This record gives sequence, C-alpha cells and structure tokens, in this order.
Amino acid sequence: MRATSLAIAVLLGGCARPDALVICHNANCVEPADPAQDDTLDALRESLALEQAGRPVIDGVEIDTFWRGEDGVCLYAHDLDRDQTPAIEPANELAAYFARSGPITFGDNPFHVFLELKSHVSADKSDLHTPAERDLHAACAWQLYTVIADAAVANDRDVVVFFSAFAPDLLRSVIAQTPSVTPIPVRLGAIQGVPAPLDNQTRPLDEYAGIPLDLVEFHAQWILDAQYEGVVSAGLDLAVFMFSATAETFAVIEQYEPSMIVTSEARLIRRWLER
Amino acid sequence: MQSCYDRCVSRAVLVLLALAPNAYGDGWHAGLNLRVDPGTHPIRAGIGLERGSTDVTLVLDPMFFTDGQHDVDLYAHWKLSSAGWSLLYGWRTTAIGLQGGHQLQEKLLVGVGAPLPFFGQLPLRARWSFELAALVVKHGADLPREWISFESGRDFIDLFNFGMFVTFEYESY
Repeated sequence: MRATSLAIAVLLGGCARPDALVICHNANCVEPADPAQDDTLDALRESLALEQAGRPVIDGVEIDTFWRGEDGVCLYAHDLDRDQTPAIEPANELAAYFARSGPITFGDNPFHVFLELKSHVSADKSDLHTPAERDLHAACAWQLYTVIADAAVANDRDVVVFFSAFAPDLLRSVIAQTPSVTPIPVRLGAIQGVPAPLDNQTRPLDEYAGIPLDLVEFHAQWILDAQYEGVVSAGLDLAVFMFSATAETFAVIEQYEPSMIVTSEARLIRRWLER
Repeated sequence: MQSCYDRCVSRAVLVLLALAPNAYGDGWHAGLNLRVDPGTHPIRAGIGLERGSTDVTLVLDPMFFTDGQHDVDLYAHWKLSSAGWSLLYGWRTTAIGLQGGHQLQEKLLVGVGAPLPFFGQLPLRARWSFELAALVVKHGADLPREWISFESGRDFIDLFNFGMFVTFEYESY
C-alpha cells in the first residue's frame, strides 16, 4: 500500500522548481530579445530598470569587453558591428545602480557581474590577441573591476565579479594582474558556446588546466552529459546561457539545474522560475 | 472565457474532425508518442486518421501537470514510397507555464518518417520520425510578441532544433 501511494505520488507530482540566479545576457535582457542592442548603454539601463513585485528582475549582468586591435582601444561591445563605447562606461552605470536606494537583486543574494573578455580583436573571430594585447585587455577588465568594487564598498552592496572568457589565456592574463587587494570577491569562469564548425571560439576545458575556475557557462542547447558530469565532479558552478529561450531550453534547465541562467529574456525566465 | 491556448487546441481538434469523413475508408490510429530529446515532454498521446497517402495526427500532452508546460502537435505524414517513407510537416504549439499565464511558442515542423517493424499479428504499428522544429513566434503572458528574425546568427540559432520521436499505436485497419 505504501509503495502504491509512493508510485502515485511520483506520477502525479510536479517537478521541483529550479533555484537559479537570473543574469542579464550581454547587458540586454528586455523582451523581445534583440541582439542588435547587445552591450549598449541603453539596453543596460533598461535591463537594470526591470522590476517584478517591487524588486529588480535580475540578479546580475554580463558585460562584454572587446579589445580592438587596430588602434588598441578597450571597448564595451559584443563585436565591431556598431558604434563603440569605451569599456569603462558600463562600470560607471553599475556604480550608479549600486548607489540607488532599495534592493539591487531579485533575491537576497550578491549582485553578480560577469566581465567577459572577448577572444578576438577584429571583426574576424579568428583574429586573436597577441600576448601583449591579452595583457592590455586584462588590465582594462581590472579597471572595470576597480570602479565596480569601489562603488560596491561605498554603497555597502554585496557584489561578486566573475571574469569570464572563451580563451583560457585571457584568464591567465587576468590572474597574472590580480591586484594585492580585491575588496569584493573575484571568480573565474570558462565559456563553452556553440561548438565548431558552427563557431570557432570554444576551447576544450582541458586547455584551462592550472586556472582555478569557479564556473563553467554552457550554451543551454549544446551541453553534453559528459561535460555536465565533468563540471559537477570538479565541484564547479554551472551556468547556462541562451539567446532565445525555447521549450528545449527549459527542459535543459530542469535537467541540469544550473545555479545561474544567463538570458536575453529576463522577465520570461523570472516568471518561469517563479511559476 | 477561453484562453488563446484553449482556442488553438480547439481549432486543431476541429481540423482533425473535418478530415474524419474522408478518412472513413482508411481508418484511424491512437497511441503513444515518445521521445528522449527535450523538444517536448517525453510521453504524449496521439490520435489520427489516415486516408490514401496522407496520415494526420493530433498529439496531446498528459505530462502538463509536471511543470505547467503543454506541447500540442498537429502534423501529417505524406507517404513518399511504397516502403512507407514519408514527409513530415505540421505545427507545434508549446504553452510554457509562467507566473501569471502561459507563453505560447509556435513551431513549424518538417521532417521525415518511416515505419518500424512490428512483430506479431496484433493491430499495432510503430513509426519513427525525425523533425526540424523552427520556432516562428512567441506570444502571450503579457510579454512582447517575438517573431523569428534572421538579422544575425544570434537571432535564430536557438530557434531551430532537431528531434526524433517514435509512435506506438493501435490501428483500426
């Protein structure tokens, strides 16, 4: 009888609601998803302004930094398809956000800033950094960190910064330039996107050997069981990212239960998590 | 008051019923629609009608209670060969359960199908199908409507997904 009751309960019971942070992908997560606005200041402001039940919809934001090789400029950009903004600008926006009154995340968790260092230095994704460019790009990322950390401390905000990249050598340059004092926590993340030959950015995880990773971020629809098992067995956090959430995306989130969802549709994901 | 989702399902049923008189001579089938990929819930139930070279199936989703998601398909197999290979085409409406409503994701389905061997003399049949599901539009739940766009790869790469399913069904003929 007890076994029968258990079987009925299993059959009729719903799935547990995933518990994950909602991170704003490319600082642009207001629906409808519009990748043309990725990594723009307007999209960042609109994303930070999203609210649900009197709280911000998101728990953090991903900001892309791009080293433009032709003139050695550090940009806030996903690519070189549009007018470019100095990389420091989104850090200044976040500083202003931390200074506002009220909560800065949906949950009672730290605000997560993903500082992604883009792998290529021109419109051609195979045009990668020279060693000197890697160091300059890493120094640029630390400048953003300093602005963000100073604002977090000044406003007594709980903030954590993840340096993330598709290229392990960029993370090595970040590590090499770690300042003696880091007032807010620093984490490191590897990004695993759409695999080759569809995209040539993703590097195998074994190329990150020696880097004390905290997180691996996968494209939700390209994660493999073996990769998931590898991340879990290494004790790393799992994040998934997507451009547009579909039924397949939600199934993957239910299956792998990532700790963070990096999305271009913050309200959709939040309302799905809160259903 | 009927929701948009209810109306969509009702229309799908009406389309199927409209085909019924023509299909009288060939028969009907009903059974399980099973898959392991994340395109829909893994276990669904289908009912359909076959006439000549066209076989139309409506698939409903009894697993909606597990997570508030409901995947409904209306598709047809158009037989291409005497061996039973067929062209698959149809439509899938997925209702994503959200706080305060459902977002409907409308997908165009195209693919191929083929019969699987089935042993014995029972009136049963099995069929394998391979699909490409293209998400055409998302709407509902007070969120902005979003149509597929091809402006850049980021606009559409998540919206095309491959899947496979098998059906095990009773057939009346």
